[in-house]
Amino acid sequence: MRKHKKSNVAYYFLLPAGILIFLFFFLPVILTILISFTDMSSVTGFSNWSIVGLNNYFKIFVHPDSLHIFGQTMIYVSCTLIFFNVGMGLLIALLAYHLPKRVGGFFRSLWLLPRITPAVVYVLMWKMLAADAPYGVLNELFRVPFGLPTTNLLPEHAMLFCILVNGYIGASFGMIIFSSAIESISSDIMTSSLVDGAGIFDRARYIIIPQLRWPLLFVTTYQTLSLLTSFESIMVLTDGNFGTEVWSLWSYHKALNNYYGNFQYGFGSALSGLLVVVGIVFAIIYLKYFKFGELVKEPLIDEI
Amino acid sequence: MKELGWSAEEIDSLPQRIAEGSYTLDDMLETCERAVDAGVVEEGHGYWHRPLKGGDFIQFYVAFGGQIYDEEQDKLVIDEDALIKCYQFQRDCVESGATPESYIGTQWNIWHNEVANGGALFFNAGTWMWADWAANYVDGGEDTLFENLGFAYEPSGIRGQKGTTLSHPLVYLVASESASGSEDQALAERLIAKMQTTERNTRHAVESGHLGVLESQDNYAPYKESEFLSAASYLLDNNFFQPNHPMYGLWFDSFWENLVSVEQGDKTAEKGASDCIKVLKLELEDQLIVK
Repeated sequence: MRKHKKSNVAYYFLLPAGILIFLFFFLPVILTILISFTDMSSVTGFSNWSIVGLNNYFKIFVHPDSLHIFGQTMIYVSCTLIFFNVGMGLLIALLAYHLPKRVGGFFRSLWLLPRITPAVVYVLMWKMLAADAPYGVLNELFRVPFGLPTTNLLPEHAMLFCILVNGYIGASFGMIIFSSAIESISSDIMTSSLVDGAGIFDRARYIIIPQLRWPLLFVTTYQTLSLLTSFESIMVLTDGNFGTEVWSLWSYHKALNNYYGNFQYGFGSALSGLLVVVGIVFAIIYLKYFKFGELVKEPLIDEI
Repeated sequence: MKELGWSAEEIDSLPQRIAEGSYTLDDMLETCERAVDAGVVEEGHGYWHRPLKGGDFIQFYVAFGGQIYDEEQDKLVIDEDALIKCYQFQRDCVESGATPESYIGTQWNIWHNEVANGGALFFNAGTWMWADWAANYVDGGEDTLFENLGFAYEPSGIRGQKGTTLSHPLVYLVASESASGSEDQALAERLIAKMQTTERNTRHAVESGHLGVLESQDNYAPYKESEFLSAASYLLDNNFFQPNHPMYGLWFDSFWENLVSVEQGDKTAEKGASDCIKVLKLELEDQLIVK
């Protein structure tokens, strides 16, 4: 039996997308890393900068804030990922599957609302939820009736709010992917497992979730990288104050956001460069843990 | 303040006493405490400084004798002593009950609504907010404002040191030919001159509550007729500016972040000050003088 010859046509189909990805993803990364080896900033402008090698990276390592910001970033990413993006997404998908179709669909649509609301409007709503009485909803409903002292909740529990704000948005991504993955599990297995005596929970644990390994890998990896690099809702919510400065926001603040016009392109690029490294490390760990190699291996059954 | 027992003279003379330095920031906090104790003012509504990041806060660093910029050497300065005192003052505001602990981060619309309607005994505001309040937040417009609110310098932290205020002038820059490739520099200059006339700037100043930028405006009738602007113009006698140093943004960011930490109680004033200086030394390198 002749082994099927690998065709080159596939590469031609990939070329347009490949060019776009190269131009808008790989090239900027290369440029960012190159800039991180310079001292480019508002002070030097675009014509007076010089190459400083690893000086920016050294500065990051001795910077008093680095460790704290890194820790906060890890807390933010892991909590949002585990409790919302993957956890909640899986939970809603499972629950919606077991509800009548219309009810399930209705709740899934509700969970999409945070994602489709414009970010600023959405975060503003959260700010008004947390505000001090008599303006804030949470204070008015849960503290005033009990005579408890009221405060602006946001500065006190800033990281919690960041996780909540991003979590409600993020859950819908996992929810959609897991939902469609669960739907695509063969109904034979689903029904026969119940007939064989498995309970709903057993079926979820032993049949559904193992079948979701590929979507789980995808959502976890994608959302980890997405959370590592996204900061817009944190920026609108707290602007990094109250201990919520995450790494990507730090990079943005240093390189592109300064009221007095002091943009540190070199230092900010170095921060971004480190973020790329962290992202790659995470991706490799996930791919190994979820045994990506096995998932995409050629099947052992010969083709006829 | 009348309810607290201050006589009309005491109230009227307050701006003067602040200008001279006989009424300091500590006096202000004491007044707040007494007001809260007497029930005249709600707890946490004694002193409402600016709720969000902004250059206004350096006024309190300067109020305690801090220096920001050394003109001779063209370098930024950080005075550890003044910094500690400034941070401690911000923390004292919270501990004395004048300001709530989770106050920073209060949204502007909430802040304006409270302050314009007399919700805070003392507050830090800008002259430009006057017009905003009269138009948008206060029934009765400017008249109500004049009746209920007063204004003065920012009190000093050191007795005997004059009160100050911060101005934030901007500079018009015309790009040179080598920078922009354009040869219309003279045209641009004429355009700027035509924009920034006594008439036009006065119109802007009156409508928005900004102080004028041209000396000729002092003698210009519509400017003089604006009660608020003529009353507030004396503040320009003892003001200072944020320095025009390219790395000032970094100075301020570090100053601000540690100020927030100290005010909220996450760090002591000493730790906040030393962290601030550590970061400044790292980021500003040779452009910093530490006192």
